[in-house]
Amino acid sequence: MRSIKVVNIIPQSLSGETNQDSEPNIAVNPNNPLQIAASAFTPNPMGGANAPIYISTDGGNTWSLNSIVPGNGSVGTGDITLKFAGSSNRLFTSILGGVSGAFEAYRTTNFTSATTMTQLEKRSNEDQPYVQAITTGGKDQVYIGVNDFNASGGKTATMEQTLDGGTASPAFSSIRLEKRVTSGQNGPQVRPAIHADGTVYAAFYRWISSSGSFPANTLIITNADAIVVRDDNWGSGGSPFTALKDSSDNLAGRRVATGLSIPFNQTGVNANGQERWGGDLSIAVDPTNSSVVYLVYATRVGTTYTLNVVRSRDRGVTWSGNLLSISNATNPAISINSAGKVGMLYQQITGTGTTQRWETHFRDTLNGRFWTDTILCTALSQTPTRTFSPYIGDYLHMMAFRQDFYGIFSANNTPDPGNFPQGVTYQRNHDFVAKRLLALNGVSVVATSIDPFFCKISELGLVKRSGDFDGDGIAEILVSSPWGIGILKRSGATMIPLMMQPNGTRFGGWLLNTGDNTFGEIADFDGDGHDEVFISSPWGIGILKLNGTTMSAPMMQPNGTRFGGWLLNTKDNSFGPAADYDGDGKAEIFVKSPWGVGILKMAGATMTPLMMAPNGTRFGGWLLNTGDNDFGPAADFDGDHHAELFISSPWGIGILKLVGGTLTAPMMQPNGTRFGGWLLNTGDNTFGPAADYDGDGIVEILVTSPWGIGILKQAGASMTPLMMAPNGTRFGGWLLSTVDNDFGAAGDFDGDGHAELLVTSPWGIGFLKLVGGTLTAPMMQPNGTRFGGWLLNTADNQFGSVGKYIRGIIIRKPPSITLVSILVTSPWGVGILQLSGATLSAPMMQPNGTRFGGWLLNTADNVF
Amino acid sequence: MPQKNKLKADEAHAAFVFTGKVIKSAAALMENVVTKNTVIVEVQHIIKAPAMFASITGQQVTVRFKKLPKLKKNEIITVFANGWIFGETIAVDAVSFSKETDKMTMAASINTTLATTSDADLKDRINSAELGVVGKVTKVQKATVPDMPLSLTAKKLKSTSKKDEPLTTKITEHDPNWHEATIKVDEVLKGPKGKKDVKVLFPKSDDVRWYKVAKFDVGQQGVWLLQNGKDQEVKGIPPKLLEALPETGEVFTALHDKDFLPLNELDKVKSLIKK
Repeated sequence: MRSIKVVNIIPQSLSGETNQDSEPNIAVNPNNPLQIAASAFTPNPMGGANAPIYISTDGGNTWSLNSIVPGNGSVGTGDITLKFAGSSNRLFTSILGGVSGAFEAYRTTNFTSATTMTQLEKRSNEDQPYVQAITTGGKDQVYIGVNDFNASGGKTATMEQTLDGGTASPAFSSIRLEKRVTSGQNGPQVRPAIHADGTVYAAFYRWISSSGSFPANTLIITNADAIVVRDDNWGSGGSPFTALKDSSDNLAGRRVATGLSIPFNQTGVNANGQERWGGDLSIAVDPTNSSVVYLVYATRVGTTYTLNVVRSRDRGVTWSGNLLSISNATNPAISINSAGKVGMLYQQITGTGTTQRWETHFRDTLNGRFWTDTILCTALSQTPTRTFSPYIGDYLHMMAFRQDFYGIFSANNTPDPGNFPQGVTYQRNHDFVAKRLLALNGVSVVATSIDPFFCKISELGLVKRSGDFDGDGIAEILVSSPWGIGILKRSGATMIPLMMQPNGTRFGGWLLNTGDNTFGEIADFDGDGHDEVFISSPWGIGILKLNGTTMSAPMMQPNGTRFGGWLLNTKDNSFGPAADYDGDGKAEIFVKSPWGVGILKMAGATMTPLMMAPNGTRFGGWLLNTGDNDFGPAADFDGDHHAELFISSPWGIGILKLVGGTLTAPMMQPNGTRFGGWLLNTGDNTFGPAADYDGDGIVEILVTSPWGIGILKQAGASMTPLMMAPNGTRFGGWLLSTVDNDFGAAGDFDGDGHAELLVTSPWGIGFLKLVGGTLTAPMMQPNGTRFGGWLLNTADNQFGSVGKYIRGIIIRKPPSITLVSILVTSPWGVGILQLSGATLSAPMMQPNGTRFGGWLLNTADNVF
Repeated sequence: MPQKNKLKADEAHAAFVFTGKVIKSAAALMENVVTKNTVIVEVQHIIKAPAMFASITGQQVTVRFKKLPKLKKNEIITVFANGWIFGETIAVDAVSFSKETDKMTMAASINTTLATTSDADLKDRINSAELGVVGKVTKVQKATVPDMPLSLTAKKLKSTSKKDEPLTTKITEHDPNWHEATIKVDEVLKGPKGKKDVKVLFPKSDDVRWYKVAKFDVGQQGVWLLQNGKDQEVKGIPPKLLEALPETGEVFTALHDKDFLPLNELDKVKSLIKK
């Protein structure tokens, strides 16, 4: 389950601005993710010597401009990118000077201060500098990919690097990355990607031949290579970035894709959304495994500009075929989070003429095969008229921090909620009803322009992929792959399929296609004691039920269907969480859209709304706004056997309860409230998982922040903490650090009726248990531990759904009970881990290649 | 009453000039700002501001001074400033200020001075111009600019390449894409008389680096203050534009925003030429 936030970052005081704020970039401070810097072609609104950057100190909820970059030109700086290093808190930026036009690098130790950034180097005759940075061993390593026309022999792709960017005058070296003959130069995109173990990759284009004319806007690079280079020790050796060679010529630099055809426009083309094509490139290394690297490159397929995504799992030596191809798309930014999930942000043209649109997509995948597809923004591409090229940018950026993705894109800023299917917040004055921007006086209408939009995709927890499909009291696991889907049940030390069917199968009327089907909430929607799976697709929605060795679809409806008053449209409807909101023993599903929210209940072959309400509705005191409200988790917070919905917003938090045909808010509190000692701030508090931590039959919710963690329990109209502790606290032996601790699932792993919390870190794994006013760690083990045969490595182990997969392992006297256990996957295979004293056991584990009946296990493309 | 008859250069080019009332010294409207040299001022009268701030009157802004001046609460000051921080409120960097008793008279005086300053900038361009003409564009074509590589096979930059390697080309999205406009001269305002036609080099590129520089199309009329390549007054022209000029040959350019003016500015240009 995820939460998506989209924010127009133009500050309120600039409500009257109409600049073309294109080509954005973003940097999140790994040392404090509430600190975010961003850039775009944005001038200092009142002139002055310095160009501005955008800054946020509340995790991206609000933004201001701080003019600290020297050289303010007509659009601020020229090309600009920026990155925080890490624990040093230093922000580095590489630019083409707004006045000089030269490549310049700058640094600040405090991006919110008024002090002008310090220049680190300057050189003319270079293009498109792109910076990445990391703090390691107390030193800031800074890598700037740049196209350096000062290079000889046509080998212009260059890494400008310093291994200690924090010194008074850092020493930079210019490393020529190209080792082959070019047509005279490389493409402008030179992109670094850094891993904390010292591995540094870079990607660039080698131009080989061309046709057409650049001044006439007809130039096409008719033959190009996309090349990846690698260094294994920070680029520090005598021959940096030569660790990866191509077997075809034994030269440094793996030619990942060859024979590429890339238009290189100088000016925007109206038919292409007023944008210029130029050969996009993005590279990301898996923070959990430096051998895994993803690359996005551009090429023409026929005459269609296309982005291709490929992957290497062996440090760039061999590469997959295309994992994803996207036509008429540009500005890719790929990154990988701490769970190994790959996220990609890009912008795609749809339609033609005056109705053509720029769509900004976020997609993610756990295996490179199955990609979600979420539209963050869809806006007309022909308005406003281009002021200059690039229209929306020659690039954008997205980066991952822990489990979250932070991105930025530029788009038409019309305040039309329909343009933002996941919701949006504006700081500048606007009228969502009339779809108009308003000036500082709140009255005068301001023309549409291009604005930068911040987006954050938060992973709120694991998608539940398990349920009791056959009603025997033991959970099974839903698995999907490019081949089809299956339901696997543990059987001794292995699994057996209760059901498996290939794509193309009809489940009743539902056509299975794992390429575009989204498998959502698993719950007992019809109250028969068997769980079903909620499914959606571009066609519509359905509920699939295990039926012998296949599935049936007791409910399925196409888009356009009215469920009472709710208009089904899977393009902008988001489904979940599912829970028993009305307490009748059947699960319902929560749905939200840019219009409002609803709770849908299965009613025969269709759905009926228990409630639905448009944005602007007050639930008690809670003002509904799907643009900035985050919904979930759902659980029984008050012990009445009805599920309630936890909700948060930039204002505060609440608990929504279904009463009659609407929702009430029995608990809601604004930011700044103290729950005991816990200071509520939804800007940096993360909520969930919810579970019965104290065993009283009522659910509590975990809250984490940069300060520490707490467990909050509803107490009338407020919350009270059962425990709270700052980072640095030892829970038994477990050292709390919300910077690198990931809090996953919660469940009753030891069978005492109290839920425990699964926590992982770069050190290892533990279960945290509420005892009195603190937590203990009844189980904690470091990486390298063997659980039976399972080798713990939190860098590549994925801990999935918890469930009662194994019957009666432990006998309590009386009665016998079934413990909750946890599914784990890795590049090696799959297992089920269960608490066994102070450690875990692995009653089931199997390597990839194993056949579970007919199901071929392959964690590279199986999604559990 | 203090009277300003002449503004300093940084005052004349300050983007935000206003008269306001001091609310609080050593204070700021936003967090994370060091307040040792900032003052909260309520804007009462705008003398000069970008259009988007036209309705800021009545709002409070934070003004940062180089050194905190001695100001009393409710004292009226005129502030010459540029932008600094823009969030829910605005903070500006003062380049200077003056204490006032009659703000409207002060505003009128400053407006007059600002207009005079603008004319002075135009006079600088006239003085720098090799040729001033009134005319009409009759032809636009791609310029032959030998020092700017325009294709993969064009002449290359200076290089120390190995023998079997190509020379480095420079194809960049920030290329100016030099074009040449032929102007049929109707009247010579400055320079040798009798010119029938004159050519001006201009960047046709709409790239972010070049879009602000004047572009010319056939049929376009106006007043040109033609500058001689790199041999011109450089004040007000970003180095990034000058560096891109061809190295060889005498060329006329109009890179400054006052180097090409609409016909309704002709009288002003003529009057300044006479001064």
